[in-house]
Amino acid sequence: MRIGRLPVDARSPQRARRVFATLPARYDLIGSVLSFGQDPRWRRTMVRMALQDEPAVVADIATGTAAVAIELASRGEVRVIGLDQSPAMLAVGRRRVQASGHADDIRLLLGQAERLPFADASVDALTFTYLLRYVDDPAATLRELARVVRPGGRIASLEFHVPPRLGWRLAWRVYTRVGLPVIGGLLGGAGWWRVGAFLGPNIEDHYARHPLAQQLEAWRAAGIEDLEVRVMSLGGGVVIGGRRRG
Amino acid sequence: MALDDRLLDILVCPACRGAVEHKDRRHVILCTECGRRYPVREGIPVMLVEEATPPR
Repeated sequence: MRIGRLPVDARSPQRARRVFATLPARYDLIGSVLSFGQDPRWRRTMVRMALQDEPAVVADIATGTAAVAIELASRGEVRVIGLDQSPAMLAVGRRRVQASGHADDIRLLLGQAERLPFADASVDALTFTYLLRYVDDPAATLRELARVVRPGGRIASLEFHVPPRLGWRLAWRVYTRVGLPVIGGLLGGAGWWRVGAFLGPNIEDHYARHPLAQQLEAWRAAGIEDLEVRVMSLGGGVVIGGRRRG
Repeated sequence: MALDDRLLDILVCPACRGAVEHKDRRHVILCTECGRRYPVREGIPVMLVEEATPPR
């Protein structure tokens, strides 16, 4: 595993994907640290949005280590299909699913969000987490996600966000520029210092290129309506939910 | 984790969106339209176009 000089370029989703693809266990930890330990609460909020019409089959995209898939299966009588493009992440996910006692309700598969291996309108609801920051064309990916959800089905997402209020934003910046790299360095040395240093700029860059309002437009353009946006934890995270038109 | 019928009902070929069949013994998911074959590794279908065996 070589991290090398990778993460400084925040403008390369592909590159980011490669960095994190090899680092599943610590990736969860960094997610936890970056969210100030709030990510379980964000996940629960997203899962509640996705399950509100009691879907039978839910697709969880960018399922990673299957935290959301397990949350979905533990909250409702649902079958969950978890998809991720990283074998390393799914290997961890599979162990977690087995340990969770929900192995009968969850199926995992390797695939790409930009080219889902699902038929049109084949699932009742869909969730996705930390995904659009790592794709080249978020609007096209949203259209592909909406394609596989039946008309009227719920779609919900979770992503990091930059706190909108100036004071918190400055604190967030110090935390992501100094705190995260230091924590990363303590946990895993120089490579993890760089990973820690990568995330803050990567998140800010994502919103600079795709502001939240523009992303919501892309949701609507993809045929997802009744949008509900919940900026959480002083703006550190954002949960978006909606319903496929029809 | 065995593949079950409900999952197979949903799955399509990511390249052409054709219907697929699970060839259990060969650990392969076969597209009935374009003929691409997707491996199943340790029970996990690998539905990535670049990992598929191209049509014969």
